[in-house]
Amino acid sequence: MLLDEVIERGATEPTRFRSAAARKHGMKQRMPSRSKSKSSRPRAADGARSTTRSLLFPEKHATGPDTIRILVVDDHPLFRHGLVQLLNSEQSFSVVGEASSAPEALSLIRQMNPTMVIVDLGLKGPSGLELTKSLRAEFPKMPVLILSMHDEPTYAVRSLRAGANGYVTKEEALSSVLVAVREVIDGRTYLSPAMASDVIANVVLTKQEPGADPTSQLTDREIEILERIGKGEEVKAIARALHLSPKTVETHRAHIKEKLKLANARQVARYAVQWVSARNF
Amino acid sequence: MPSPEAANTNHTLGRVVLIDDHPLIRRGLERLIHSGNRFTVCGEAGTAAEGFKLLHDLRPDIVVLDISLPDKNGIELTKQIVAKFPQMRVLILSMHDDAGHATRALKAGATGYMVKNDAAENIEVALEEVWHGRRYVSDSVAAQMA
Repeated sequence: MLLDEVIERGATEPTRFRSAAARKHGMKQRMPSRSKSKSSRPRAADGARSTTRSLLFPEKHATGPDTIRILVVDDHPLFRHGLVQLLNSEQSFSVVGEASSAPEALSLIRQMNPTMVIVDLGLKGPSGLELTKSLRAEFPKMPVLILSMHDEPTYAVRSLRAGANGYVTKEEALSSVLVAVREVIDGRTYLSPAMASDVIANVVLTKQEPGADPTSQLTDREIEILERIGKGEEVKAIARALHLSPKTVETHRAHIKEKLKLANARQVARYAVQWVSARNF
Repeated sequence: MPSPEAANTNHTLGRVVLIDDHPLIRRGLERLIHSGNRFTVCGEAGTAAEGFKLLHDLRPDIVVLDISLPDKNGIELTKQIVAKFPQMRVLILSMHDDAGHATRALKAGATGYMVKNDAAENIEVALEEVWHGRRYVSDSVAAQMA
């Protein structure tokens, strides 16, 4: 199912506007639900009661015509908060919105029209790769920077093929993301030097050569399904998460089996578990 | 008990040290904690060894500790912290929302167990409960422990 259809079917979470820009444009703001414990917490020592408002509207500086307006898509709230703080600490950057899923991101991008988007590769539901492809189709010129927990070149290659302009691992994000944003805004592709060297080796090494990863023959969707199988997800759960039918997931699994020269679904599962654990997902 | 000096400084209840190997997660936590104006982050570390040294130097009221660190299990580090600094409170931060991990953390001497996805909403509540010496366990885990 296309992301648009997901949105049409109302499968998206409530959109949260967290930026001064959103308020400025009079957009509707929805507060996330607050826990019972939060509502009953005592007042601060100085009598002031802190609210979630400061979390929803990150500390910001005035935006000008040269400000790079960034939308951040990551389903890990702590990581997202850290990233927003880092980006907003830069004078010419301003985070204009945050999303935690691909459908939510698409909806927000259409409304906010940011200069660029930073996308987590490992989103729940439609992946960051899917989102990048959708963005590339709808907003061909909007730079997309992928953030990923994977430091293997195959993920960077797949991201660039999907249309991303840069790839930064979460490990190196603190030191690299500001440079990466500037590079992709200036129209260049960004990979860290170590990753660039691995990517070149990965591209040069063909699948027939010894040492080549057999999973390089798999499509993006097949890799995604292999990863989920390796994490112990059942066919029905995978189908639900990716908005596919169980039959389609089984077809993808059959293709994985053929490409990896495995005998049956059980061998695919065993291979997937080893593949995932070797990569420490 | 937390030091009275800390409680009287800038209206904050207490001083917090963060130990987590992901720098951006530390940054996110810092942003969340400071936005409440009730606690202040006085130091941070990315490894158990570095963190333990920092605790010795800074003597915070609360340690927010990732359950899985590159050089040591967070639960083992909790035991070490509680033995060396009995007045310090430990709030474990974890990816695991299961009762088993939470029970092990609390048995090791942690005062609180918080699932990372719960932190964006409730870190301040958790810190306050832990600062008062009351147990805090994320709802999703507490439901399994009941």
